[in-house]
Amino acid sequence: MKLKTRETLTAYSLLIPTFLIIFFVNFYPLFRVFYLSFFKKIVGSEEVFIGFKNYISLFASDIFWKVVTATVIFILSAVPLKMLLGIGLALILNKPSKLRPILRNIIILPWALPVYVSAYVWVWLYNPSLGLLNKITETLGLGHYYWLQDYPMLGIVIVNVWQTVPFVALAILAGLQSIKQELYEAAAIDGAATFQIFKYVTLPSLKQTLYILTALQILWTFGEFVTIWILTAGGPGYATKTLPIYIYEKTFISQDLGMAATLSVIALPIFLMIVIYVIRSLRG
Amino acid sequence: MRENELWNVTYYIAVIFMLFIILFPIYAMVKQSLVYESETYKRTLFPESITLENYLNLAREVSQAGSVGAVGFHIFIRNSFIISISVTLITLFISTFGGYSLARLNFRGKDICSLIVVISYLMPAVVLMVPLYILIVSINLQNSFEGIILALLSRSVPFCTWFMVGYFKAIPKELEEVAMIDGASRITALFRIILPLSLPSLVVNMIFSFTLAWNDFIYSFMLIDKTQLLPLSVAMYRLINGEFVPWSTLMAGGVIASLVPVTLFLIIQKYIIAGLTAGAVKG
Repeated sequence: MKLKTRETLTAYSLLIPTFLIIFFVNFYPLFRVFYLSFFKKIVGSEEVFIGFKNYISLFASDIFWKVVTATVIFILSAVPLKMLLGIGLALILNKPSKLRPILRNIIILPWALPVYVSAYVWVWLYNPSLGLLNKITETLGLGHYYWLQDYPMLGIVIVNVWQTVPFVALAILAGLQSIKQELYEAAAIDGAATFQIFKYVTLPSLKQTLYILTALQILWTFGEFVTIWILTAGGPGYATKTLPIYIYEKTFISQDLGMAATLSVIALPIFLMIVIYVIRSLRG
Repeated sequence: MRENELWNVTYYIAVIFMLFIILFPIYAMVKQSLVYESETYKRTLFPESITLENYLNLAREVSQAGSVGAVGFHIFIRNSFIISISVTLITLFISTFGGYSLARLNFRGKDICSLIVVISYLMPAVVLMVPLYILIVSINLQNSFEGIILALLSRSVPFCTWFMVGYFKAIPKELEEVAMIDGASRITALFRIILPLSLPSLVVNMIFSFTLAWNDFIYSFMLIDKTQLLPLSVAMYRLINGEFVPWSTLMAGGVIASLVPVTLFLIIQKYIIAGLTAGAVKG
């Protein structure tokens, strides 16, 4: 009994620093954002309690729905693309060859660069008069484009996919390599074609990995700020104004903290659902 | 036999295509960092002449192209190092003990504590943007390294704690039990037996929090506007939003900013994926 009390005391005292930090910079802010969403609060003025008015005016505003649309389009185009390309890349990497170790190191590069660095590089590549993309399309006779003005959503999706596919591919590769070799051998003995092996052996064994990765990618793509801000800052118009960009603008440009808090709270249920799903599937 | 050859050809075409897409932007950055600014307008795909001018520009105290408001890039690099090293050391200390406690000791409320750590790790940075900004302004830490370090701990501590939990769980319990039968306390066992064994994972932990801090843009962008205190990420943002963008110098800055995380990532490559997904989250 005494030993147990001592153990509990040790446990708590070792945990104190972790939880001081988490409560101070994670949980307190979270409660605060919830609280603020019920107030009118502009930087420099007093907080005024207004109940659900922030929520009501948000749902009634056209801009909010444009923001939701942009966010959904961004997630729905980037995530499936990452998963498909990730599976493709992983299959290429899974083929035993002398090149494999070098390929793995090269493939991880876009993901290892700081996100802001690759965003700056792409701003330059997309630049209509100085960028190399137009140089390439002009040389190939495909014409001259104003990439980020004419195709802003495609522009940010390409950069986001370029940055994160390496991670997805290597995670899937780890899944592929844990599939038992006997399964493939059995399928080969049964005379299965390459595509059949993929459909009946590879995919089912990867199901768990793919689900978790998709959930994580939805979460991370949803929270993407840096790439979009550097490339288009949400423009032109509302074309790439996703929720994180809009929250930033409400906070630092309109300085309307109450509204910014409301926007953050609205994101929470979606976020929590994905988190609970991820935790459950990792345990189960 | 023919099917096999077809597959081989497809495989090599796919590899070459993939390598081109992945490497082209990186090649373009490195190439641009090595050519004179005037070549920008020619949009050369291959360098016409090579120079280290852009890198030297970055190191000069006051230079036309490589400075933001008369502050040279070496100051921004130094700032990034100060912030990242502080975050790394604080996180290492906190997350090692917290992770050990959650992995090894039995106490009331352990499950909830673990859940809180995971939720904090998965929470997108942007949800915390407004309240963290308010918090840091209210304790007067905007425009200070302390403020930005504190904000970054909200990302690094939950993640590294969770990583350590996964790691400690994989060490056989008997190791400490033997020591404790011999009369050592749990803390002594932790320091004498577990920590020396865990050196590789402590290194991975440090690399995670270092790159996390080094790669930060959001928090530095919202919390710091004094030029002398800017880290690399936001200093480069100022360059790109100036009237005249010195692309060659900017790309040299990009290469410098990438060297550290890329080197670190290549060292710990095989731990990364496991750390970010399932490996660290064995509930």
